[in-house]
Amino acid sequence: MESIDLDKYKEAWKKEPIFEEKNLTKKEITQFIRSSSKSIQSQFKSALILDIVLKSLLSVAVIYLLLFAKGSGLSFTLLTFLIILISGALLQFGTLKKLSLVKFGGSIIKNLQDYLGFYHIEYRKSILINASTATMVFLTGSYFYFIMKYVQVPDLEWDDYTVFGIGSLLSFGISFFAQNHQFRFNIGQLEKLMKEADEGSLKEEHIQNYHSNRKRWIWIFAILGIVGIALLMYLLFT
Amino acid sequence: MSAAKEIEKEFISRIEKHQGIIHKICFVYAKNESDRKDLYQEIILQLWKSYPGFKGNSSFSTWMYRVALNTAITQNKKPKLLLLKTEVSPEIDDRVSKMEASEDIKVLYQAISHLNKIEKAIILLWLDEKSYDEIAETIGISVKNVSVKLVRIKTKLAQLIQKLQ
Repeated sequence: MESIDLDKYKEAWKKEPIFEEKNLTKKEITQFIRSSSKSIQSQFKSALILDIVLKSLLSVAVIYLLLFAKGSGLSFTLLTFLIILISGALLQFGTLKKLSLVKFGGSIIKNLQDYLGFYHIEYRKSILINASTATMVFLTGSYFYFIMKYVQVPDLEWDDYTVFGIGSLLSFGISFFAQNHQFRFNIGQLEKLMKEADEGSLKEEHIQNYHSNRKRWIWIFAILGIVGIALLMYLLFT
Repeated sequence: MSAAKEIEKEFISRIEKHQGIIHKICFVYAKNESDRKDLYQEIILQLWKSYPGFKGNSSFSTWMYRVALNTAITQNKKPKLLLLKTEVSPEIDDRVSKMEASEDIKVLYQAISHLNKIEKAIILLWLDEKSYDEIAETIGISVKNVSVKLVRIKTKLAQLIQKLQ
């Protein structure tokens, strides 16, 4: 039953005129090669560029505050902000360079492996760095507010620090949650594909390796996050 | 004419000649007309971006299949949180009835739509008379595995067609 039926459909497939029609003209092909991509890779690239631009603009704003704002211990705090912003922008720039190396030319499985490796390490790292921009927007914006209203950054009370702390955590958390949701979705899709392709051809170890790598990075980033928040609190309270 | 223009012209004429491959991949992977147009655009764009890497080690059509399938397979749906109501694709039956293809192709399309993305890639290459070596090279699995998978997919496809008839 199977071979007879499928051979008939294979013949129909070969002769089907809708596949042979020259629907795409030279003009359309030219338009397509000049268009912008909607792939995950391109969307990620745009997000990275936007983050680098935002971090650069924030760095300029922090330099302005360093030069013109007055307040006790302000220079140390602002210099720390600047270091965070510049290192973040440099790390994102590095990810951008690595992203350009991910190519579509290899086999489907090789491509999926490259994508998964990239997502597990680079994308996860990048969304944490990206979320920190939201916190820096909040903090730098607050400092500007103080300068505009009080001419200098006033000595803050403990309840001000609570507001700062909550604001910093919220701005980071909301940005991180939204990006992480997308990240988990993309990883889920790729892992599903990998499992479909992997069946009987590659060892289960591949998937397990990705999972153990993922757990390791979750721990590293959780520790880095806690240290970062502790450092931020220290800077704001001293 | 500059070298870049020359390369672009050469690429466009090759795509124009082999566009059947893109039509077939879009036919199998896109879920509606709007998806199909997006996929056309994305595949051609990725082919153009990957073109400098084409060294002629394999035939142009094999290379084209590899890049186009990689693009179609990794083209993700949006997470439900980001999906607007208007973007929900219509029912398969409705799309099939509007198709201009022959009855056999409509049935085949419906059956293939029940396969997973990797199975679709393998059956697509088989339908296009690619050798086991070429399928293995494109997918990245052994020739032996191609033969095992093909038997399984063909059985599944035959059962699906039988149910649909």
